[in-house]
Amino acid sequence: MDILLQLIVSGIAVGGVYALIALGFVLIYKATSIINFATGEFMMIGAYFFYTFMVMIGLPPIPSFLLVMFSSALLGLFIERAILRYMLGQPTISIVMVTIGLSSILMGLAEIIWSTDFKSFPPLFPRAPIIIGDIIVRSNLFWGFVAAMAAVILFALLFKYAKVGVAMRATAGDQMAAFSMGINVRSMFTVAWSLGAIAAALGGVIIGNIGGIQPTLGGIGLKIFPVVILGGLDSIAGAVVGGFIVGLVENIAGGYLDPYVGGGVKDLAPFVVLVLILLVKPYGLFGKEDIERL
Amino acid sequence: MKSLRVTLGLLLALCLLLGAGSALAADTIKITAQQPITGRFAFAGKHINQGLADSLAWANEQGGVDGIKVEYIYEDTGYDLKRAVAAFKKMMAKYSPVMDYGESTGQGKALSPEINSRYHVVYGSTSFSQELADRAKNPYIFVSGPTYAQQFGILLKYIAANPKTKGKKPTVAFFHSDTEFGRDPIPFAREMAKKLGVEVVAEEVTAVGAVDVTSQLLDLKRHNPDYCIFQGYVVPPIPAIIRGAKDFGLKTTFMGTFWTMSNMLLDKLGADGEGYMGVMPYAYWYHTEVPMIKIIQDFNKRHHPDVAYRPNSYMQGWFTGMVFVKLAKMCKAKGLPITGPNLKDMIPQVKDWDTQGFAGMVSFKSSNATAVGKVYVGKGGKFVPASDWIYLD
Repeated sequence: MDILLQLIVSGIAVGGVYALIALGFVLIYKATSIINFATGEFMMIGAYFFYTFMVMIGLPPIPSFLLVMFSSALLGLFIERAILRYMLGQPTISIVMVTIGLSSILMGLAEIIWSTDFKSFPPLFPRAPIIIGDIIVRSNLFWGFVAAMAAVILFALLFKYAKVGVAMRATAGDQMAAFSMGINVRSMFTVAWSLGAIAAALGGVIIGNIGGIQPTLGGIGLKIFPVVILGGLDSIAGAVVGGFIVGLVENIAGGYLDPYVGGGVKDLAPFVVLVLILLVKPYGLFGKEDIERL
Repeated sequence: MKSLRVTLGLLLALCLLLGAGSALAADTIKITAQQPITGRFAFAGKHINQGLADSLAWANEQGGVDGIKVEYIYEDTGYDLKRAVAAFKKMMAKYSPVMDYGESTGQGKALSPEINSRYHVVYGSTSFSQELADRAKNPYIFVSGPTYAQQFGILLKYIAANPKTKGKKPTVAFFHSDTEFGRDPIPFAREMAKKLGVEVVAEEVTAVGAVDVTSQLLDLKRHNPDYCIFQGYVVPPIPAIIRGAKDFGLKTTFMGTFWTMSNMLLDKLGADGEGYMGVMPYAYWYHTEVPMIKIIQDFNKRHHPDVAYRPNSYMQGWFTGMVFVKLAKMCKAKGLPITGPNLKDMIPQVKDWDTQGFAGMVSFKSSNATAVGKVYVGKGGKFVPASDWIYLD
């Protein structure tokens, strides 16, 4: 029983971090209908931004964190204005290919700017684990979860109450209607890319703090993909629920099945659950059902 | 008219110069390499490439191979197998080298049939794969150190000789990535452990970039091994595992093989790196009491004055260069022409070769791998020897 509780608590903690990175996918898809396959690389670049501000320049963690948000927003803005804007109206496959190409470019840039060596930040949180009864949660994971959840809540509030969030929701709902109501739809696309980049970058700082950074860190984006598909590509709540489900499923499957089959179930299980859920709900748990009448 | 004559004269002079260059190049021993200088293995590839280039340059400073200079030609592959295979074939056609260095286990496995049947080029690489070192299958291919399986063997020999509780069978867990690199030595290691009387109590598997390792840590806690050996990682998730194990109250000693024995990992581990152990086939940059390290430091001081440290991947490149030159010198000493097939025949004849403290007394005995390594332990942010050279064959 202790083991099950331990697995559940750790699964929730890591699921919260997955949810934040998944938000990077969702924010962009919700407003622009583009699946950004470079989300993992946005995450990796965010971690390198933090490394630059905190280790190379020597700023304290909080100003570094704020500067990561600012520079990631600029990165998102630049990419939308310089590349994606010109892809409006192009076939989906072309846009997907652009984001895949973007991921390679960002990885190459990271190699050029920060080199391919492994980097790490000084510890951001106290070293001691968090002990709840018989359950032990490693410090990085616990504080990472707290930071990730705080960011997710802020994004949700922004979407629900801020003017820009309402305008983004309107744009996501019906672009023509939003346009006719005076919303600058193009600006909303830029805001979405900037917010998506911020969410991914914050996830990158948390993951980088757990295991260090390398240009290949963005590979984790592939792991987050089941999270967003599971929750529904256009749902913030879906990203959170999807994150927790994937975190829980991989931990429990790993804890109970890995020892019997020699490992590997932990990484496979989220995809199995994904297939099962998509068989019943093809748009994900909270995804908007898109009906086209011919 | 005058300018035309001048141009023609310059062209003629250029042709003569190029011709002379080619004639000179014909008197060199050509060694080609496909190096992962960019891409996800570049953190090591750029150092391996520099180590190999420096080792061969140093050999040239020493007079080359009895007066014949060694020429090193490399190309970046971006750690992309298709690019590496294409670069290999292009270089074989363009330079007809007698020795070659490849970027990965994958490249070696993909090319081994053609290396044996068509190219006849002696081939070293970044790989420590057991399969590539199989002399019967791959007589042209050698591994620049002990294979991963032999590295496990060396660690298990150390564990058997250093039980934590006297009179009790030592216990060990294997912690490896879910990759070919991670799985490579495990079957051999299971057998070796049985032979040495070491009990394998758990085998944990994770993805390379795993974020959460709680389930594996709980399983480790359940089995509470005396030792745990990592395989198939470079840095992550090792720090998370070692710190997590401490949080869970485990007293396990963690160990690693070549790629997990870097100062990069020790730096990341900080105070948690104290007592971390593992096997290395070479001496470290800071082991200045080792004669060959003194030579390497001196070479770097003269040619790369800004360099303050060279990692173990650089040492792998340097050692491979030493092997290439050694094989060529052995051919020369026997009066044989320096060709791929002759160089290949020299590999099994390397016996008790004194590497000046750098890689022990090297022999390629039952396989084309050195089967020797030293166990080191992390102390004060550096690796210090915990054993003498341990030989397997």
